[in-house]
Amino acid sequence: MTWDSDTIRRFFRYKRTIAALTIIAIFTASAILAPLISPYDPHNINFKSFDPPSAAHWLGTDSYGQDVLSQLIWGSRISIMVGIFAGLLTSIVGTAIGVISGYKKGVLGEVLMRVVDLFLVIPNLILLILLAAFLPNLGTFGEIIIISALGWLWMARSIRAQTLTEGSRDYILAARALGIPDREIMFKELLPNILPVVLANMILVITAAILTEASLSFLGVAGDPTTVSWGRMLALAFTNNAVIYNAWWWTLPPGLCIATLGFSFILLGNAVLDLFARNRGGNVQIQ
Amino acid sequence: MAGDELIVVDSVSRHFSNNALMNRRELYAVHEVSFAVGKGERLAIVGESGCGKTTLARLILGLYPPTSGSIRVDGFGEVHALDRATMKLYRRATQMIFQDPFAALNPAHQIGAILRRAVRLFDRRASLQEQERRSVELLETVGLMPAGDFMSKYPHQLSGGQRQRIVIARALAVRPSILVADEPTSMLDVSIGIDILNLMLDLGDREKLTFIIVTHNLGQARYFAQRILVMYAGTIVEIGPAKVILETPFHPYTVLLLATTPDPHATRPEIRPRGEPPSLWEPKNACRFYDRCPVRLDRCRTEFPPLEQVAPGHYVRCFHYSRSAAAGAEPAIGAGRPASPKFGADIFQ
Amino acid sequence: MEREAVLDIRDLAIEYTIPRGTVHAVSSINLEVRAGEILGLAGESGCGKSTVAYSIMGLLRGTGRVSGGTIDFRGTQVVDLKGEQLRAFRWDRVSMVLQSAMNNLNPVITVREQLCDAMEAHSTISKKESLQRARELLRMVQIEEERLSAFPHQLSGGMRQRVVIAMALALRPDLVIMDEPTTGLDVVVQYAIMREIARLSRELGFAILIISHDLPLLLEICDRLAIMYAGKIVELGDSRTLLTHPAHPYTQGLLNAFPPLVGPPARLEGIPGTIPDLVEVAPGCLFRERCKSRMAVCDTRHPATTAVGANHTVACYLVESPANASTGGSHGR
Repeated sequence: MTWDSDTIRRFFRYKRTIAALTIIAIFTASAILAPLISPYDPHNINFKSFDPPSAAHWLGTDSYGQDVLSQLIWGSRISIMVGIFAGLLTSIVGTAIGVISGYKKGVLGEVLMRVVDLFLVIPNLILLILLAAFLPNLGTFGEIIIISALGWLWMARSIRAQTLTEGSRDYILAARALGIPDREIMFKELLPNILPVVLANMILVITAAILTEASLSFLGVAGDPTTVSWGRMLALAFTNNAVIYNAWWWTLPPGLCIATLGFSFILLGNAVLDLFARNRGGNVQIQ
Repeated sequence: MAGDELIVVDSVSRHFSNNALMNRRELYAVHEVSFAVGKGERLAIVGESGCGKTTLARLILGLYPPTSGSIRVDGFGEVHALDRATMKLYRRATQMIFQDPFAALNPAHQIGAILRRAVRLFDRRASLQEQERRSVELLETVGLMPAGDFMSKYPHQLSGGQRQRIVIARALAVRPSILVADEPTSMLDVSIGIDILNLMLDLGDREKLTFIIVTHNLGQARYFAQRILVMYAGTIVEIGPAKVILETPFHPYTVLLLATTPDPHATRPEIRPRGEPPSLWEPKNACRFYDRCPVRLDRCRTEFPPLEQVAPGHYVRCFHYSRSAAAGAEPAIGAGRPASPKFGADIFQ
Repeated sequence: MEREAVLDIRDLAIEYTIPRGTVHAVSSINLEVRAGEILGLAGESGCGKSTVAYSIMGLLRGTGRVSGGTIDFRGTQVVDLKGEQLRAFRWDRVSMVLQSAMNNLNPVITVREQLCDAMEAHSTISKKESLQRARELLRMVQIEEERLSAFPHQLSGGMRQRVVIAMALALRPDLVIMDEPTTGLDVVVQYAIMREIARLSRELGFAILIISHDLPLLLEICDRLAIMYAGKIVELGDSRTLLTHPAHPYTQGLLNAFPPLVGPPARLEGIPGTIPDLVEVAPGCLFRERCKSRMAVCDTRHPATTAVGANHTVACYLVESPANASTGGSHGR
C-alpha cells in the first residue's frame, strides 16, 4: 500500500471524509474552546429548572437549573479525550501484540485467540462493569485504562488475522531470505502494508470507546462524577424524570451528540477502508 | 563432497502433516531426492504442478528443514544444522527470484529504499553515499537505465519486466553464490521473459553464480540450463545433461513431457496421454508413474525403483533401466538403449 | 474451397474511458471466422485480444463500448442486440469459455445442475431432456457419467475445464470462443484438452476462436492465426505460413521468444520495450518503437493491411503495397 500524494488527495476528496472531518473538527473545537464558547459555567445552578429553550438558554436548563448547552460543550471534552486516548492505547497495544503473534505464530497466538474467544462469550459491558467495580475509581484516567484493557484483545485478533495473510506474501519471504531481522520485518516491512486495516480498526475502536465511555458514565460505574460528560447528562436526565417533564432539550442533545460523533468516526473508517481496498484491489475486512 | 560440488542433496524427503488429532496423514511433497550441483552450474528442475519442485527449491534455500536426509553446501556444511548466525549467512548466500515480481517487492517501499536496505544488509557500515552508489550500480547491472529514474519509483509504477529486474538486483545486492529462480518468467510476457533469462545467463557467467531454475517448460529448461532434473510426484525420475534429456529421454514421464510440450518446430506423433498425477498422501511403495505408464511392469506396482545410472551423469528411476531387471524380461524400452528418434513418444500411442 | 463466414468483423473499434482520457483499446479489426475452422487470436498482455472476444459476446464491461465497425454473426448485427435478444443470442449461437472459468464454477451446485441450468435457461428444453443431454455432453468430453453428481472441488483442474467446455457446447453453438483455455493447466492436461477440443470441432462442425498468448500452442492447434499488437491485427494467415514465413517483425520476434525443444542451441532475443500509449495515440506504426526494421515511413501512419501471399495479410511497410504507396511506400529490404 503506497502513501503517495495521489492516494492522500483522493482520500480528502471523498464526501465521507469531508463530512466526517468537519463533524469531528466541530466537536474537537468545542472541546478545546469550551471555556471560551460556553455561555455559562456548566455547574451554575442558579437558573430556573426545566426551562425550555430560549434566547438566554439555547438548549434550556436541566432539573438542577444548569444550562444544557454549556454542559454539552464541556461534556464533549470527556467524550473526545476518552475516546481518542482509549482508542490510541488500545490500538498501540493491540497492533503490537497482533503483529507479533501473527508473525511469530506459535503459542502466543493460540493463547491469544482462546482468551479472546473466552471474552467473546461474556457481554462486554458486564465485563467492564465488573472491572470497574473491582478497581479503585481513578476518575477519567481509570476509565481510559478500563476501556483499553478489554479493547486491545479484539484489536489484536483482527490485526493478527491480517498479519497472517500478509506474512505469507512473497516480499516477506524475500525479506527473510535477505536476512532482515524479525523485528524489522514486522514493523518496517509488514506493518506499513497493513496500516489501512490498523487505521480503520483504530477508528472503530475510538468510536467504541466513545460509546463505552458514555455507557459507563451513564451507569455511573466509572469516570469522575464531578465532571460533565454526555453519558452522565443522560443518566441524570433519566433519573430526574426528564421524560415525564417532557424535557426533550435535555435528553435529545447528549444522545444526538454521542451518535453523531460515533457516526463521523465510522464514516472516516469507512473512507479509509474504501481507499485502500480499491488500491490493493483486494479484500480488506474488519473482523 | 567432491571438488567442485557446491550443493549435495542426499536422500532428502519433506513431508507435511495435516496436523489432525485423528486420522493424521502425511503428504510426501518431496521423497528421497538425491543430486549434486556443481559450482557455477545451471540446473533446471522441471515438472508439473504438485511435483515438489517448489518445495525442493525452498529446502535448498533453507526455509524449512527436510523431514529426513541432508542438504550440504560447500563452505557451510549441513544446512539445517547451522546455528543462527551461520544460517543468516547462508540465507544471504542463497537468494530467490520469485514467480510473481509484484508480490516479491514491498508495495510500500520505493525502489531506492529496497535496494539500499539490501546493500546495507551486506555491509552494515556502508555510508549513505555508498549505499546509493551501489544501488545505482545494481540497477545498471540489471539493465535499468537511467538508474536515477527508478530509485524513487514504487513497484506499482513499473512494468512486470522491470520489477523482475529489481528483484534480481536486490538479490545480487547481498552477493549470493546461489540463485534459485522459481518460475521467473511465467508471469511475464514472453517477449520480456526471454530478456530476463538472458540477463540471468549473463550474470551467471559474469558473477560466477550457481543457478537453480524451477520451471514447468522443457524448452525453457533447455535454453537456460546445462543439466535438467525431471520431477514427478515428489521424486526424481530422470536427471542428466540438458541435451541428452531432450534428445534421448529415457523415463516414460520425460517422454510424455516432451511429446506434449507445444513446439511447432518439433515433429512428434500424436499421442493419447491418460491418467492423472497421483495423490501425494502416503504413497504406496511403488513407482509413482505406474497408473499412467504405457510400459509398466508388474514389479513397478510393488517396488519403488531406485535411481540408477544409465550413462555418465545420466540417471533414471525406472525398472526398465535397472541393472537388476529380471533375466529374460524384455523391457519395452531397451535397457541402456535410448528411446526411438520420435522422442520415444510411440510408446504412448 | 472457401467455407462460409460464421463471424465477420469489420473495422471494429473498441474504447473505454479512464480518468486520463479514452483508451483506444482496439481499432480497425477485420477478421472472419469460417464455419468449422479453428482460428487463433494471439498476442501478449494489453494487445486487446480478450477485448475483441468480449465484444463478440456483448460482454464489454464498465466503460467499454464498441465505438466503430460491425460484428456480423450470420447476418445478425451483434452490436445492435440488446437485452433479451442479446441473452438469447448468447450461448445459443455463440458461447464462450472465459478465462479461469474452471475456477469460477459455482462451488455449491453439482455438475449436473450447472449443465442443466445453463440449458434450461436458454431453451425450452424439458428437465428430462436436459438431463439426457447433460449425460451426452459429459460423454463427449470424456468424463464418466457418475461425475454428474460431483461438486466442482471434487474434480481435478483438467476435469473442471472439460465441464466448462461441455457447458459451452450444450446448445450446439456455431462458434465457441475460448479465452486462454489452458491457463493454469499442466502441459499434459493441456495437450489432451486441446486435442479433444479440436476433435469435437471436427465432429460437431462448430468453429472455434481461441485467444491465447501461447503462440506455439496456437500454431499446433489452429488452422489460421491472427497476431494482435496494441489493438490491431498485424498479421493474419495459415498457421503453417506464419510459422515458416512470418512477415511482420512482431510475429518474427514473438516466434523467436519461445525457446524450442529442438534445433541448434542459439541465443534468443526478446522484444524490449512496452506497448505504446493507447490514450494519446501517436501517429505512425504502433510497433515502431520496438521494431528492429524501423524506417522513416513508419512514423507517418499506421500501415494498411496488405496481402503477402494466398490467405496471408500483414500490416507493415516492409511489404510492398499499393495501399502503402500513398505514404511514400516501402523502401524495400
